[in-house]
Amino acid sequence: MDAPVAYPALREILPHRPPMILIDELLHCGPADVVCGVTVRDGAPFVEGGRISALISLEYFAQTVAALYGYNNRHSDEFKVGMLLGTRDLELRATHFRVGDAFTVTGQEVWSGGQMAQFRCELLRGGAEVVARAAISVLHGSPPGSPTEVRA
Amino acid sequence: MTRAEIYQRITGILVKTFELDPADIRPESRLFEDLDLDSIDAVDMFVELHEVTGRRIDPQAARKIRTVQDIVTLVEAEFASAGVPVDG
Repeated sequence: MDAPVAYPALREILPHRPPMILIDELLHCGPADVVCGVTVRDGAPFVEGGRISALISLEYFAQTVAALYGYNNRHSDEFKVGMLLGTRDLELRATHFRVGDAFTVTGQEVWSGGQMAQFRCELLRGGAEVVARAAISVLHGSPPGSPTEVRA
Repeated sequence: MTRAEIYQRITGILVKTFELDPADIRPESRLFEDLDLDSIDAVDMFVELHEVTGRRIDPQAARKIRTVQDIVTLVEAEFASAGVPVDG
């Protein structure tokens, strides 16, 4: 087991801003693997009638992978914006999640080349039950030729 | 592994991953123009090739790929530099 690490708040490492930071905290971050935590709460974006579409898993995956790059590049002067390029093998084992559901979100890099990478991601309810999984392809860092935003 | 087996693996990946018709795939087929792949599909292709070869495909070499035969040649080269013999 790793020694406990005090990870920064996600708003310090993600380019997203509340309320669109949909995950709660970074729990573990290695060079090529990452774990975040999220609990579905009333009032959060996309929560309606006490539940949220399981399609939100994709954004949980994307923000979790963004947290990996944000954390590993946290000493850089630039906020690096990335993009979700696509997903493959998306598997949802529920149509909706409920307010109060607590998840861990895992991402494991399976390939990277240049600014592109692919991660295998899983959403686990209660830390054990896999409720969603997918492979997501991402572009990390700003696309070539785009303006960069300096960290405030 | 033989060249024919490598070609079979590559076409198998193309059919399974991109839902292509095997009849459309020839060695000279151009990935983007003839088979309608895009740069995001290319990421999936590299993940699959990584699984086949156990090696990380050099992005510089990958950039030169245009046809199905180019992929086969690249995989042969990866096997060769890993010391795996490729026969006829």
